[in-house]
Amino acid sequence: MAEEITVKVYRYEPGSDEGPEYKTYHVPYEEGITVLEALMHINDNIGPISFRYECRFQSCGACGVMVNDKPVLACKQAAEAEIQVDPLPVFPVIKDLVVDHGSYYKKRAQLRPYIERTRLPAEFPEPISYETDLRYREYVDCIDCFLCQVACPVLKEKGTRFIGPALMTYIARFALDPRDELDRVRMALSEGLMECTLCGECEKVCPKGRRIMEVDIKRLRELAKLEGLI
Amino acid sequence: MDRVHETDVLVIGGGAGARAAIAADEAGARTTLIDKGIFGKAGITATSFGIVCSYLPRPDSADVLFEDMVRAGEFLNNQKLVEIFANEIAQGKVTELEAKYGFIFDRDEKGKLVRKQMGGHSHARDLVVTWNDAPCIWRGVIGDVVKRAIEIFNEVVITDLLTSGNRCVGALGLDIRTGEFMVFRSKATVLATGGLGQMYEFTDNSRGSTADGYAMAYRAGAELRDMEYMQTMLGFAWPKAIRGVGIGEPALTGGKLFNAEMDRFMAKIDPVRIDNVPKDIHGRAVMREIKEGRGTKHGGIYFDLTRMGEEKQPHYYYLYPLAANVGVDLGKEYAEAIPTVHYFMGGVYVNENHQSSVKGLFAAGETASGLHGAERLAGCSVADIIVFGYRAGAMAAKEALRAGHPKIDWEQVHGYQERVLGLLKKEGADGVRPAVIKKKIRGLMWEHAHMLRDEKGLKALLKGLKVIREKDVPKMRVASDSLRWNYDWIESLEALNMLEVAELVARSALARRETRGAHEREDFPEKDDENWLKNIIISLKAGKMVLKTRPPVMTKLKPGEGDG
Repeated sequence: MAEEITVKVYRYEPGSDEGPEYKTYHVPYEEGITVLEALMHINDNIGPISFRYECRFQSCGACGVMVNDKPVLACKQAAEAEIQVDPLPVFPVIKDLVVDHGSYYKKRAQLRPYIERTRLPAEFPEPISYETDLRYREYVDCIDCFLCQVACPVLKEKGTRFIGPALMTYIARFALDPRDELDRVRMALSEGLMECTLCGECEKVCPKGRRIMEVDIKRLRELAKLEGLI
Repeated sequence: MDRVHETDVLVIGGGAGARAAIAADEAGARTTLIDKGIFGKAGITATSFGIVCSYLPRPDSADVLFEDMVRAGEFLNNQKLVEIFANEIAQGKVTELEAKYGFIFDRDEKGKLVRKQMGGHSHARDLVVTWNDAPCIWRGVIGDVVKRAIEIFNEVVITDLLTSGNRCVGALGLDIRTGEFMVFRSKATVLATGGLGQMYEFTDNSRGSTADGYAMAYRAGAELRDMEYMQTMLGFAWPKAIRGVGIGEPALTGGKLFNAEMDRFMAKIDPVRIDNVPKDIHGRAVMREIKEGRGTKHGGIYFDLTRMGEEKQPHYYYLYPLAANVGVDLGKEYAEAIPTVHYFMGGVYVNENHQSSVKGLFAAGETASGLHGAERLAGCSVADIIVFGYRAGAMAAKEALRAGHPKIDWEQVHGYQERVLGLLKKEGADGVRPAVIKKKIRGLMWEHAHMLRDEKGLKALLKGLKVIREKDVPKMRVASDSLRWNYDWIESLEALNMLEVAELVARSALARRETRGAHEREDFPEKDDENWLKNIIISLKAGKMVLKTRPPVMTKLKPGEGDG
């Protein structure tokens, strides 16, 4: 392994800079060094760069960036000898690697990302079957890191209604929860469920290894079929 | 022009603060939530373990939980707070959220709740959510905040609380994305900015735990309590990318501890339970091994988790890929572990209504103190923010709905703004970056104010802090004077908060000349009920730090009662 890592970082401050440019930094190699560590090293020891992170252990989903054109969590991605770090595409750049995810959160809020139920059990904790629990567990790993949203080729097409894999996961999570009373399947259809091409790009980039296409998209389609909607 | 934002209840922080905001909104108060990061991602709640003290079926009861908490807290708890807390848990205030928020506590194959008995608890009352490492209980809470369309300002750092006389009238914020000031005027304010893990070299706390709330409350004249009480848990000492990340208790993982000489050192301390002892006991033993030269290459002890992979325990299995990702195969090699800083029991003094000594200022979660006393039981912090976060928000709303419009002291606002803008000075030849100052504080705190403390070390800490204050702070410079997303600037504010609170921790730890709960004085190894059955209260009066003691509130249980 090289003794040093060459990191090319996208630098841009809209409003002040004429346009984006890349700056190259050299970071000493250490066993197990991640892209996040490399960015922190640059920021603390060489010169300031703007990037987001919170937890450092793949749990918060805040540090998503593009590394050599692939969407990754900076805290998970090993820093190779030569890397280029860009902000996640699609979202507007606030500064350097920091982007504004506002559009995602706005859309998420419209999907009513909470359980909708009017009938509450008479006592708590309510009886819940093992099967319901197991199904629920399939969804809890999503950390809202935006990587699948960025990787999805359908989302890049103009005029698509498809809201993207991560947001579809929200719908699936509630559609498959027997406690939820909303018609989530119709919601999924109107949000472009059938426009997904099942290419599986979302699963390739998911830092949690979630089977977004197999579990979320296909189950929603099965439900739609069962209800005679497709 | 200053951006002024009017609200009834201002909530600062997105963990306990989220529950406070829900309660305030429910009570009909106009509610505004401020998050230093992105709500739902920032703060330790977003990544906290899914283990919650929440279910007390017979023969368990509120009384038993109360007694467990007071005994663990070594009688420094405010027993009125503990009583309210235990009663609310017994009433199902946590378990009802499963139904209302839609997360699911683990069921076994028969559909029965999976219950864990954690260290110091008399019964298996902690419910768990299999989540590996995703914040799924919190996702339910986030959902409720979204449903209520509570107003949220993301990536706004609160620099100071605003006061008028002895009343909190709002807060001064700095929009991290634009560098603009925002003045929040509120009738009641809930401070829920979390703890101070980032003040130590090793912590499992996320980036933002820089003691902001303690420092702001202190500067606003509020009393702080139990600032000598910090809790650790075993975490990775290495590799660097995951240093400080929590591993958990050997009792839960079934792991064994060894020193560098491959000696199971815990057997000397507890020949029966060996590794299966509460966090503070193995934490201290580990620090002694390291101090006496039996530490590993990377400054920890060995934590044998090789069997964990086979068993695939859901709560700990995620550690496997996490370590593998940075080159450590936990199935074949031992983890190197140190007691990483995990939680802070001390904080803003609050009464039974979660109100601080400053009118209109409430505190909740790790920012508040009094519930846990000298040691916190496992599962009681998420339960705390669920129950007391909500209760603090409800109390704040009550206050807000009867209070008149507060008056902002603009001279004060401009003074604070000047202080913040003064930090935006660019690096000179001998300038010191805030990251450097933070690193120095972390090193000093780790060395002298971790688990093993004595007068000599604490005095060295105070001296070290003085040097930083006098030599480094005047030279503190940011590397860029850009207003937009300039984290050097934000880190300058954080470094000053850390420096202020480090001194409060040092002074309190120096004053408590005994060993009680999580505070161990090597020069005073015994508990001293005669002199130290009291809380240390620290506050700022007329520009001077005032330290005093106050007997803890005892209602039902006194030391020596009901013992064996």
